[in-house]
Amino acid sequence: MIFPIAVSVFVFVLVYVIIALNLINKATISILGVSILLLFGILTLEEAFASINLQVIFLLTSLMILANVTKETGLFLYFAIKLAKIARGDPLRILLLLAVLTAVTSAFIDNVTTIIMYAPIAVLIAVELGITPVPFIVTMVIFSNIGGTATLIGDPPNILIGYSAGLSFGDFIMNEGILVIIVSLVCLFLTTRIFGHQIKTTPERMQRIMNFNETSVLTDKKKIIQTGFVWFWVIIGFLFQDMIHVNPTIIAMSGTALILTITRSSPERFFAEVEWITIFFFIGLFILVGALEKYMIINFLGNNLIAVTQGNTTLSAMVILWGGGILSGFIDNIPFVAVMIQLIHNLNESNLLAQESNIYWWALSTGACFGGNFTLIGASANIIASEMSRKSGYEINFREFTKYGIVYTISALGISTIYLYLRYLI
Amino acid sequence: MRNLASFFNPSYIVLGSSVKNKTEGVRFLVRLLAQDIHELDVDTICNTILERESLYPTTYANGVSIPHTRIPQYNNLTVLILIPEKPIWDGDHEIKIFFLVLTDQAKSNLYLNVMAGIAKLSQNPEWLDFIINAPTQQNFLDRVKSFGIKIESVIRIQDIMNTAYPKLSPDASVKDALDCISMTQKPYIPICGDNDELLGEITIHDIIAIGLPPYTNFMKNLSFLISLEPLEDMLKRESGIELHTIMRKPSIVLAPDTVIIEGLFQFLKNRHRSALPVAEGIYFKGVLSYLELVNNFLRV
Repeated sequence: MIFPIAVSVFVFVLVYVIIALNLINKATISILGVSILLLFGILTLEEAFASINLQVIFLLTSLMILANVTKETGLFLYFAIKLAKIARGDPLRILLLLAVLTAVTSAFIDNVTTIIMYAPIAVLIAVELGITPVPFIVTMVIFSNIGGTATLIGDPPNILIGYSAGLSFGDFIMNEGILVIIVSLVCLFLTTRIFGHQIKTTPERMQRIMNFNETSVLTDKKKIIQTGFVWFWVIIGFLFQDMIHVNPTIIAMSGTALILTITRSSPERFFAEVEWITIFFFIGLFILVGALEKYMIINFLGNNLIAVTQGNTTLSAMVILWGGGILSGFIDNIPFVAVMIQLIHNLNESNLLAQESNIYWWALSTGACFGGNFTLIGASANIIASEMSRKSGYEINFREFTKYGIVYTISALGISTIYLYLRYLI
Repeated sequence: MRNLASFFNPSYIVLGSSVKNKTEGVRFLVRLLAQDIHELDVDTICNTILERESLYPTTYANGVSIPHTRIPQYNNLTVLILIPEKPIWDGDHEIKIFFLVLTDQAKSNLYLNVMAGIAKLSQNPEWLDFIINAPTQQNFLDRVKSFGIKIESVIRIQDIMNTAYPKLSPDASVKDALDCISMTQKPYIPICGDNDELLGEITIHDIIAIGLPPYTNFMKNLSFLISLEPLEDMLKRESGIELHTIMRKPSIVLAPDTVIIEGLFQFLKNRHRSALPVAEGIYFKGVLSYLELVNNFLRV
């Protein structure tokens, strides 16, 4: 029994460290870890396959295809330009409106796609205004991570938590959504204080923004209507998931099939654009955590956590929230959440209050998602945005991002602490 | 392997010409070619050929004259044929047929093989009589074709590449590059050092990319813009932007002795490219563009 436990723990820790140090691609190393477990007979092939949560895999894949088809319509570009014009070309107002747009979009579309869609137009607007795009990039990254926290489909950790804890899209909106609105308002205020003085421009420059013709980006109006129609029903499906008793994966898959059919989009192209790295990373991770579960390692960790917190719900929730937040700033939050999910199941078994209020789940979701804002390497969206910025001639280094990230993240986690306490513990 | 006839063009076959001597014959043929290639310096070429002929005559006892020369930067291999209505005298020999062969230094392989093919044809008196009496240009070609003389040549990049291709130094500016593209109508420019080392390459895309920075690549379209700061900036500074700041290392470099199949394959694999540089080691030798492929290989 010692050998399989040792190998499971060793492989998991090794994969975790390699991902944290960014030594090998995360999909490659997690699949390699799985191969080791299978070769050593730690798991059988059947056990490995049974560990994969196919609902999560298909939900992620479907959402990626939906997002990519929507991206093609130019609708997101239209929204961004329209908001810049509503702001009359004023840099601070544009920054705040783009932050809100990013947060709302991130609630429904993964953060990386959101950043890929909005960061370029933000850079272009900043260049036209004759100011540095860095405040725009940093703010949009921060708000994409905040916005993603609001829904079941906004951030991969939420998908994992939602499926494992049986929490619906509506549950996330009613619990995390409200918190996200409060945190966003505070962070918008912070943005005005942090960046307001850095982004001044001239009326001539503002006029350049007003000269943009946003309607010209909408080249295929029929496709926009079709895409909007599908998204409308997908969101309705998610919102009323509890009433109609349809699994979110089925809703997303149906939406994907419908959007590809009615827009007559090339499936080859959109299937090719699926982020297979993320998908295979998830598959590998499910199996690696499956091995920890099989050999009761998660149980062991859970019991120790209970011992440390002495079963105190408030203390446990704060450890999960702040521990998750800080760790997520430095390491990938997905493997962390995957392990924590099993731990929380154990904690909930011995704590009826926590089980009924779902406080540990909300603490985990909040910590893992908001924590991505701590540092430049805290989330994939941060890395993508900084890379995009660097290629455009505006370097955002680890130190500079972290300087802003710490302020936003500590504020967000502080507000979350108060929110969780007032809402679930009193 | 190609039939010798495939190197002859019916437009460049003159039957029953009234030329009186070799000089007239050569001048007639060079002028004929100059009708298609206007930049040819007829007098210089004729003088070069005739000077060479005076030193090393190429008229043989069988009545065949094969004057030839290499024209710098001619970038082609052309065989022009003339059959006088009556044989004309050149020294001790009669000329019944002229084969004027023009090429440039880079096509030496093919050139030599074609010369060898003409020599083989000339050595057979029956074949020679047969083609001299051909009633039409097409019939002339058909008769040559029927002999089945094959040119033992693997066509290589050096046989068809453009050796007169414009190139710029890394210190040249974007303005120079735009001027060069505008004047030569070639959207690809190799960047070479003082000793013709191939240092890099630029295309019109690289120049456009200065004005449309990488972040614009992520957008669906830019139709909402009527102006763009980086593009305006680039147009203002075009004289000050040196090419070494934007040139790329060539991703593909063909060696001169590369077989033509590989050249075609590289074009197919890299569909966005209109030209590929050719270099021997680090030294630039020429460019293979679609134009050379069509004119010197696919169309022949």
